[in-house]
Amino acid sequence: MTSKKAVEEMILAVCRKHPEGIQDTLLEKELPDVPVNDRAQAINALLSSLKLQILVNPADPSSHIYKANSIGDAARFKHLNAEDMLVYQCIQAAGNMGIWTRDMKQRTNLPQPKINKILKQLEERLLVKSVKSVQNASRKVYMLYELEPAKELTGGPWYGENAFDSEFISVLQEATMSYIKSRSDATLSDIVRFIKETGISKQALQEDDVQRIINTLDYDGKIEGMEVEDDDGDMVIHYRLPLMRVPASTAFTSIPCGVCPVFTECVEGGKISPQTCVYYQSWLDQLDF
Amino acid sequence: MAQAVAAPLPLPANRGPYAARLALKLVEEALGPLCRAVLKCLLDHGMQQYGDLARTSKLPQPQLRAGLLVLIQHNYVNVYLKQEPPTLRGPGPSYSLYEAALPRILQGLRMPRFLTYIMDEHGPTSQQLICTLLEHGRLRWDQVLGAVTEAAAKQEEGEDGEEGDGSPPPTPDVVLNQFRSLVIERFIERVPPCTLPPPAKQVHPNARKKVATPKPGSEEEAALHREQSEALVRQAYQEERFQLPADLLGGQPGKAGDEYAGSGKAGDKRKRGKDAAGEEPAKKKGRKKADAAAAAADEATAAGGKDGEKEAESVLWRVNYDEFNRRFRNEVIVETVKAKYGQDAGNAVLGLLLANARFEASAQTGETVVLGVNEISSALRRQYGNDLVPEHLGEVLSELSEDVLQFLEAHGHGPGGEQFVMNIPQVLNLARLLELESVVRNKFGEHGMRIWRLLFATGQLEQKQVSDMAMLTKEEAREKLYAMLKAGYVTLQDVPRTADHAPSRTFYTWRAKLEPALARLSSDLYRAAGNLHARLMHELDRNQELLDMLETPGISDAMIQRRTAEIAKLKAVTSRLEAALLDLDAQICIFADV
Repeated sequence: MTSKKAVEEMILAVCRKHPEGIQDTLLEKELPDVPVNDRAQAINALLSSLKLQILVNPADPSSHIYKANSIGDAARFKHLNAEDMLVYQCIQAAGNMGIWTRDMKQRTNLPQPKINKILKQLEERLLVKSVKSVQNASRKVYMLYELEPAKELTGGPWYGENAFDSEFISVLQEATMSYIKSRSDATLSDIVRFIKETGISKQALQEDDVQRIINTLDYDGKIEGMEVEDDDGDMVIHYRLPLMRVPASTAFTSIPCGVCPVFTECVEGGKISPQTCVYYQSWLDQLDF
Repeated sequence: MAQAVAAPLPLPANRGPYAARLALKLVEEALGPLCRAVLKCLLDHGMQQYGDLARTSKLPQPQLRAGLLVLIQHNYVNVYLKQEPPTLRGPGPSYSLYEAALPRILQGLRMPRFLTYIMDEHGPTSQQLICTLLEHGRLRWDQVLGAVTEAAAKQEEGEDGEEGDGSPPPTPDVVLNQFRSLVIERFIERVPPCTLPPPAKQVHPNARKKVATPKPGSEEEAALHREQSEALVRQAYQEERFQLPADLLGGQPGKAGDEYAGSGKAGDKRKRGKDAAGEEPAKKKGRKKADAAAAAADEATAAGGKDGEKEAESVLWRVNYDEFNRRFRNEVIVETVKAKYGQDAGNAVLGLLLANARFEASAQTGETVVLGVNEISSALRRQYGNDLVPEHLGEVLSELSEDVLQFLEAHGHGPGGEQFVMNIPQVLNLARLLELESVVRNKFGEHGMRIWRLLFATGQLEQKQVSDMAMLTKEEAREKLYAMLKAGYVTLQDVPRTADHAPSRTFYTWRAKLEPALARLSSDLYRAAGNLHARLMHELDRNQELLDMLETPGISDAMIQRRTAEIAKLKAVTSRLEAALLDLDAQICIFADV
């Protein structure tokens, strides 16, 4: 008859061999000599000492699997009770997208004050952290301390201190413009390289980030893309200054009506009318004669 | 041939409420409040008979008649003869229908541009010819000649010693020659006869139904025959629209000139022409076989006791605005193509348009006819010599036909080399699009244009996608989108997930489409032109006393001296407003009239 300690060691060893987790039936096969009662006792002991965790089997939600905790984990999770662990696992499952406390309440079935208390504790022990989402400025979401928040959450490189960084974007636009002007013709990879070299951005900008900047320039009518065949016969889009510029002004917009903010409200004989129009007055007063 | 190309439906903008408002203003300014009242009635109630007009306008008969006649004289009202189908008792009744010629009234704004154009192309005599016709609406040849020679003589007198260019007044021969070439170039046309049947109803292409061939002897067949014979009458007018009568073509112009040289002033003639036309409503009740022009001329010649045999005497002429619009349109097209595809492409398209000119019945042509390379190059050569013909015209054109814009379609080989068809609205829309984008930028800022172009390029987007893709803050994107929605340049569609259209369960997508945005801009243009005109009239009214003073005969210099500043200010203000109106009209031309 093996001692309790030895059974625990054996179970842990088996679990470590299966880092993705192991089902109870498999465990039974691996340890044929251990009687079921001993195994159950050992597993309970391991679970309560946080050396082992029990999880729902992702492949089959009706069963569950055991997973060995790493050595350090035991120390990290010391003095955490089952409810704390429940919240922790809930946060862990959310990955780098994070989870909102309301959603946590639903998943764990714990009352909100309780969750808040647990979260405070977990945060103090640097197990989880809270991140502000750019999509919902009022919502705080929680994720594991060691994770990097997802791009959707932080808004990618375009967000400074929680706010949209318009300044940064216009600086990038100007830099890209001046580059295209100096080269008269540039591809996406040219522009990415150029931006990397200048070091305008603290974060490294990916191709699709730069592509978005280029697209805004295109929508502004400042550049246009042309498909050109490169040396390998692939079609590559080259960006250059547009042949047809959007005219700076038109006959319509060079009179007050064209840019009038109350154009739709203007009626002859009304409060706003061409005869009493202040914009016309100042436009006509500008004349020197 | 011209009928082979289906003309697109007219843009709604030049019939919209703002166009009508501007038209009323223009008519009131030019012809007075009576004509305005008559026109308003015609605009409000559409095409109608004289009796209806009398009822709805509530004007006393003589006034209404005078107003209507002046409007007809100036071609501001179209007259049609409606023939009702025959009944068992005999031939059906016929009556005249009156319709406001809205586009023509609105294009009256463009007269200075017409005159400048004709001055550049054909010189002062032609300008005087066109000017006379514009001033009087419709005139017979002898009236035109009289007015032109008289004006030339007056100019000579007034300018002697000053900056007279030394050229002698044009002889009748010269005037006739100019007149001929203006008719041949379609700047001047015959006035449509008032026996013309009303225009066929234009059914939207989507609403057209396939009608089976009617059974012989049925009511439908009779209707079809009537329609066909009406179409023939219209066709007959189209055929002789730019035809010179034999005696103007090759007769003795000198004689014709002599005959009329001394016969009264242009003003008299105009009045006489009007009086003659005045018989029209009275005659309307009787059988109406001869056209109005002929009737008018008959009256006139009968009164003068002259021989009514000569055809030229019975033909009334007027300026063909469409020809000018067509030329302005071609300028825009050529400029656009030149800017986008270079000089050679521009010249090639210019040749294409020149070759197509004789097949066009209106400025609103959809597609050109199928044209061969040889035709195109010879048209270009005829007009501009060899300099403008690109070296490889065929290649230039086939390259253009492969462009993504797809405005030029290759139509295989024909007797004249490779053949092409150009889609005119496609190119025009490119030019319009640029103007539209500029308007959006000026109205809603750089970021507004970014959003508009983004939506235009991508079709439809949700608000959040807009702010993401345009890289703007949510707040700014929302502000711009709603401003553009209010102004009518973008549209918003709701896509409900549930039947109750609850906002929380509904997607809202934004779109920017070319046609609605262009229609909105066109209507805005008319509205702005109306405002400009209103302000101009207001400024003139406000300074009425000053204007009266200047017109007072024998006003002392000292009085004028004292108010120099005021006069200069009024001059500056009115000329700025007038210039803005002209510029705006040039833009209207591209958006609404071609």
